[in-house]
This record gives sequence, C-alpha cells and structure tokens, in this order.
Amino acid sequence: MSKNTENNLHLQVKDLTIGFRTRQGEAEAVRRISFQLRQGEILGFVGESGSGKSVTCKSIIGLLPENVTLSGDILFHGKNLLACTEKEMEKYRGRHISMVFQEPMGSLDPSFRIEQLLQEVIMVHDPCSREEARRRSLDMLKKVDIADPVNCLKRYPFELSGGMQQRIMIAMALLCRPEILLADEPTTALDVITQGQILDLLRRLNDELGTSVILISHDMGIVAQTADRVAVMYCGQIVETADVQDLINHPMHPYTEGLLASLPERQTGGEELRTIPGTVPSIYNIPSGCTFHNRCPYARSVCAAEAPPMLMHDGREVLCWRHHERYQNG
Amino acid sequence: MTPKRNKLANIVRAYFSRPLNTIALLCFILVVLLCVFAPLIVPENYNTIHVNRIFEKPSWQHIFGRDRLGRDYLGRVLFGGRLTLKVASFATVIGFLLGTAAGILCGYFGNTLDTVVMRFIETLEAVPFLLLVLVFEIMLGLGTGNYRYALGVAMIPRLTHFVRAEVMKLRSQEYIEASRSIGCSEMQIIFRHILNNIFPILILQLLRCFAEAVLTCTICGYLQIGFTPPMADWGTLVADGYHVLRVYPWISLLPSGSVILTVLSLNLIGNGLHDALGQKQ
Amino acid sequence: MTKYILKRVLLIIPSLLLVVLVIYSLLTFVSFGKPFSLSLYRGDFLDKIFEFFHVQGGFFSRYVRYCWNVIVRLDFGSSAQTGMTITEELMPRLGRTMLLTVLSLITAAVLGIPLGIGAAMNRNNWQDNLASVSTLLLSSVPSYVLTIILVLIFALYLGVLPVSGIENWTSYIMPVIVTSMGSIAETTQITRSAISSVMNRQYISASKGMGIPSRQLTYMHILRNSLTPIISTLARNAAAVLGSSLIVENFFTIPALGSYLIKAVNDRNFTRVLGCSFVIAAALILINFAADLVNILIDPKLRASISSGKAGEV
Repeated sequence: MSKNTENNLHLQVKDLTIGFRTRQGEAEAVRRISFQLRQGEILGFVGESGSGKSVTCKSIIGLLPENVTLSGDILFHGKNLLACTEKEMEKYRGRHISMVFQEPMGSLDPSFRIEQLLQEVIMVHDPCSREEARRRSLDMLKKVDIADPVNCLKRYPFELSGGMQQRIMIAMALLCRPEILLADEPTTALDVITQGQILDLLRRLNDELGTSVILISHDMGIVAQTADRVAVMYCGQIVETADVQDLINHPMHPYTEGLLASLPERQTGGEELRTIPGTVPSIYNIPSGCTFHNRCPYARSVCAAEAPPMLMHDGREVLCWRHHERYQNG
Repeated sequence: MTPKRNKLANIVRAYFSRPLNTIALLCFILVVLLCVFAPLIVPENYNTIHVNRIFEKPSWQHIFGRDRLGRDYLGRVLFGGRLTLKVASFATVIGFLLGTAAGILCGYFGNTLDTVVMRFIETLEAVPFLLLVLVFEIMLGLGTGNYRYALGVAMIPRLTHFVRAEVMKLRSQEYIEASRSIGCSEMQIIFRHILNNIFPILILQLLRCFAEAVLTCTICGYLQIGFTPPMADWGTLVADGYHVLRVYPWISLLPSGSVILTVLSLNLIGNGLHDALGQKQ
Repeated sequence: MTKYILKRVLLIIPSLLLVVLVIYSLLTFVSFGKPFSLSLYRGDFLDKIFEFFHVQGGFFSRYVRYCWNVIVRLDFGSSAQTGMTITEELMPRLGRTMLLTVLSLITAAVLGIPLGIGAAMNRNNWQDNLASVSTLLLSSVPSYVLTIILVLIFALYLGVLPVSGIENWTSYIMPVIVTSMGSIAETTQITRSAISSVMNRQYISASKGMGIPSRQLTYMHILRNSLTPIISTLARNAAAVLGSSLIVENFFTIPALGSYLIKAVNDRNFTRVLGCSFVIAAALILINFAADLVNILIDPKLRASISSGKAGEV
C-alpha cells in the first residue's frame, strides 16, 4: 500500500561510496548508491550479509570506524552529513537521527539504571527538570508497550529480557522525536513472537509519531510485512527499489525474484527448498559488468560486459539490463 | 620430528627479525661473558688496597677508576656482577625447579593436595616479596651462603601458582583424555604432552623470574642484607657510593648502569621471545 | 548483601591468623624450638583454658597465647632494648608506612589511568608510546637507582628536596615517586587493556548513536565500565606497593615499618619481626577488603550476583 506522503524528503543519498582498507587490500563495501527517504515512510533495506546494508546505515549516523573512506552526499534537510565534523554529528545523533541495533542484550550500558540512561539522552539534547525528564521517560516507555514502566525505570539492563531491552532501545531512540530512525536488524536476535511485536511497534510508532524509518534486514519476510518501500541490495549496490506491494507481486530484478522465491512461504510442499545458485562474490573480487551476472538465469553477453545503468520505471528503479533495449538486441 | 624443528626455526627467525631483540641478546651475553671471565680480564689483584690513591677518576689504566679504598673499580664491578649473577641464577634455578614441579603436581592431580597447598601458597603470595625473603633468610641464617636459598624459596609460591594455572588450562583439553584412553601412563602424559606445551611459556617465565631475582638481589645488597663485606654485589657497590654521590658519582652510577643494562636486556629478550612465540601461533 | 559483607569481615581474622601462623612457625624453626621471648602473661584467662585441656608449653599454645595477646589486648610484647612496648614502637611507624603506601597508590591511579585512557584511545599516539616505553624502563630500573637519580637531581644539585628523615611534607615527595613507579606502569597497562576492550562494546556505539558527546562517553560510560579490573589490579598492587615502600623507606631513612623490620632482622629480634609482620599482614588484608568493597559499590552486576547467592568465592 503506497502511503500518501508529501514529497518531503528527509534524506537524500547520492552516489554514496564507502571504502575501507584491510590487510588484504582496499575494497568498497558500498559502490555509488543513491536513494531517498520520504517523510513518514518505512524504507526497508534487504539483502544478504555483506551486501552493505549495515554499513550504509552506519554511514548516515556517522558510526563507522576511522579507516573508512566516504564519498558522495548524504543530505539531511539539505545539509550534507558527510561534511559534518564530529561535534556537529553529535548534535544530530539522538535528536534528529537515531539508531537501534541488532543485539539488544548488549546495547544498554550495564552500569546504569534505565532511568539514568533515558534521562541522559534527554539532558544532552533537550535539558529540562528531573521531573519533566521522568515524565517523558515514562510516557515513552508506555508508548513502547512496557507493562510496568515505573518499575522498569529502576532496573538495570541485565535484569531485563531481550525483548524489553529492545523496546527500551527504541524508546530511547525516539525520546527526542527524531525525524529518522535507523533500525539495523532490530529483530534478528529475538524470538519469533517478540519479533512480530517489535515490528508492529515500529509500524505503530511510525504512524503515531511520523518518524521515518529505515529498516534493515536479511529477511525479506520481515521487510515485506513492515515496510512501505523496499530497496534490495546486492554486493554493495542497490539493485532494485520499489513500493513493497509492487516489489512482491512484480519483482523486476532477478535477484529480487530469487529472494522472493526462496521465502519458505512461497515454497510449494514436497519440493527442494529453492535457493539462488552460487555464492556472493567477495568484495575484493567483484565481477565485471553486472555483479549478479554469474548467478543470473537471464544473463546475456551484455550483462557480463558492462555494468547496467539505473533504470527508472513507474516510480521504481532497477539496475538490470533486462529492461533496457540493449538486452533485447542481445 | 620435522614439524618440531620447523617450529623452532620459525621462532628463532621471528625473534631475530627485529634488530632490537638481537641487540638485547648480544648485550646480555656480553654482560654474562664479562662477569664469568672476570678473573681473566682484570689484571692486577683487584682487592689490593692502595690507600694513597683513593677515588681516582676513570683513566686509561683503570677504566672504571678506583674506589673508596683505592681498589680497581672495574674489577670490583665485574666481580660484583659475578656475585649477583651467581646468586640470582642459583636462586632462580631452585625456585624454578621446585615451583614448576609443585605447580605441575598441583595442577595435574588436583583435589585435596591441590586445595591444601594452594591455600598455603596464596597466603605466602600475599606477603610482600622482600618480607618473605627476609623471613626465609632468618630461618636459614644470615649470610651469603644462605641468601641464595632464601631468594630461591621465596620465588616458589608465585611460580607454583603460575604453572598450576597453565597446567590446569591444558589438563581439560581433549587430547589429554585421548592419550589416557590409549593407555599412556600419567608420567608419560606429563612429560610428553604437558611439558611440551607449557615449555615456551615456562621459558618466558624463567626469564622474568631471573630478571626479578637480579633486581631483588641487588636491592638486598644495597640494604646490606645477606652479603658481608668485602664481598660485594652490584647493589652493595651502589650503596657504597651513595655517600660520595656528589663528588664521585661514578661509584654508584657504574654498577647501577650494569644492573639496568642486564635487566633491560633480559626484559627485551623476554618481550621479543613473547612476540616471536605469538607469531608462530 | 550485608550478610556477605559480614561474612567477609569475619573471614579477615582467620586469614590474619593464618599468615601469622606461617611466619611464626618459620621463625620458630630458627631458634630450633627454643621459645623466643614473647610477653607471656601468667594467670590469665588463657591459662585456665590451657589447664583445662592439659596443654602445657609447646609451640601451639605459645602461638595461641601470642595471637590472643595481640588481638584482645593489642599487645605485641615489649622490647628489651628500648623498654617500650612494641605496640608503642609500631604505631607511629605504621602511620607513616600507610601514608606512603596510600599516597603512592593515589599517585599511580592519578598518573596511570589518564595515560592508559589516552593510550587506548588512539593507536601509536604519544601516550601509547610513552606507556610502552615507560613500562619497559620502569621494570628494568631498580628502585635504588631511581632514588639515586632523583636524589642527585633534586637534593644535591638543586637542593630542593630533603634526602632523609621526615621533617615536613616535602620529605614525602621523592619517596612517593619512587614507590609508585612500578605501580604506575602496571596501572597504565591494565587501564589501557580494560578501556580497549570496553571501547568496542556495542553499548558504547549505541550511546554514541544517541548523541552522547565524546567526553561524557569516555568518562561516564567507558571508564565506569572499565573500573572493576582497574581497581582489582590496584588492590593487588597494594601488596607490591607496600613491599616497595618498605624498601624505599630504607633508602630515605624514614622511620617507618621498613627500616624497623630490616633492623629487627639484622638484630635477630624476633619479637619485633613478628609484630611488624603481623601489622603489615593486617594492613594488606584490610586494603584488599577495602578494594573489594569499592568493587561492590561500583559494579551492579556483582551486587546482583552476590544478593542472589551466586558468588561464593572468598
């Protein structure tokens, strides 16, 4: 279902490239990707491990290590985040852009009570009285469906379950009503039931508070049920972007097709589980032409020879030769 | 036994790949050689007192000058080093052998023996090292002959604790179980497997203990414990020169420098070996 | 929680007695069983107990009597040389030794922790290199050499600091520097490794992601979580620092436990040696206990595991 969002862009990423240097050489985790995040929408990033989703996320909020080279533009309301100093980024983090991580069990400082952690965030960005901070914390905890918020404030993180810790993380992230919430595999470490609850929570908060969300997952199912729009990443590039229903019903990129086909729900009984043949190439050894061509059932000579351009089509984007006339010609 | 030889060659190569390690080793060997061959190097009887030529500055004839009683100071320093190194190595050997044996026994066999001994050892470890040496020394009677034993025995607690910890780490590994299941006797297991594996760590610890023994020995020498004049070790020589520090600084500085050189080179060798061993893995 | 603390307090006494037993037995060996003179009050409560159990003289009863005297009456005996009781001799000296030890521990913390933090924050900056080099040097240079160098510079050439005795507070400066040296190196090492490991934890990235400024992040979050190993190390160091101060007191002729002990050893005055050792052991045990208490205060996980009865270690 396509949300009727105003064409107000929170985030505009252009030609983002993230490279780093290791002992095995230099490599690019993300190569010239561009995407937009519209106000109030949930944008899902889906792809295998190593496709660059997490790194992209971290680059927006500036949490990448120092040996990383970044180029391109990340425009947040016109301001290029990549050109910001660390001090400027500190003002954005938590206040305008927040992040929630994969491992809730390790994301809260174990030496402090929940109340102190929440209060700290408030005091850094939006100082107010202790009572006011406490009221806001309780308010937020209720919003994330925590049963006994007053008791919860007094606890230490290690006394709480994974699901609760993740909710608290989300609460902490949204305390100052940021415009963007980055959720990096927020449910991967949780059990299935809690997973569903957290995803529902994210959707509800997106509705109530109007926060735009970038939801990252390797699980197409999760993205399908939660996101408004989806970007599929493969090997450091975005290979397809579309509204979620369009993507599921009419996938345009062969990789997307493969991902959808290998969803357990899509399998008919009695057959072998379908997978995409081959393995993801190492980032030190990227194939020429289209990076997917050696695993693609539709590959032709043009696919091996040249990298495809990004094709726009009906509000969708796809990085594939199949929808280009050169493909038709062979 | 080719794999073993290769391992050794790798370690040696890794060690000498850094010039600092080579220099350290050479320095240490130099010091040892000088002290061991002291009687050959020092020409005249260094103990001869020349009352009319006290405190001469270093000159070509007497490279280290002369001391408070006119004796050739180079001789004094070299023989002092001999004494220090003799006592320290003797103590280290005793402490090391007994401590390692105790550590292996406690660590490998465990249960009541281990608990009782470790309680005792932990108590001893809590006592400051010097105090322990002093107490043992009183026990054995004051004097150089006994000081080396006191120092050695005082080193046992820490070594036992350390070796025991390492052995316990190994004991729980599976290949020990495997060896036992094919019928190896306990002694065989100990000698072949355990010793083999803790050998490199033991060598490192040996170096560290020796360095510490040298330091403690000189400190006790400085405090006039365990050495009677005219026997002198480096520490005693330093103490001798303390009162004339302003006017004749070399009396204290030369033996100090020797101690620092020895211990520093030992520490560097230990560090280099540690890195070389780490790289092998 | 209080039960645990109470249990620890009660355990102090047996530990102390054990240490004294060890030293006492070692010393007794020297005199080959001949009792050395300790104050042995006759006709008191202990006598009655011994009579009741038909325990005559002998090693163990003397040991018990000694401990009883010390703990109940604070009486270590008296020394024939000065005529004072040993308690009177020991107390002021204990004060000076403890002052030296505590000052050295504080110096080690104040200098070592920031250096360790700086070294952990960036690789190969000047703090990291300084930390490595100083660790190497400090463990190779014996304390008396350091003493000599300091004395040469500050006392003889500059004439600023006193060489011996304890005239005023300046007399403590050089001794504290020398005593704290080894501890500084170890504190820096342990701080660096503790901070390095905490720095990479996810809750630090998460807090950073919430916009917590870097200075607050370092001191409130990173340091707070690194404190437990650092303090444990400082406590273990306390024994070494105490040992060090005993030695350094001799260099600077400070009338404290160190010089007292050495002299007593040389004079074979076992009463003094025993009394001094007892006091030193007691001081060490108390320092360790204090460090454990501080750890409990700082680390909520430790508190929780104690309350739920999981921690059984002593």
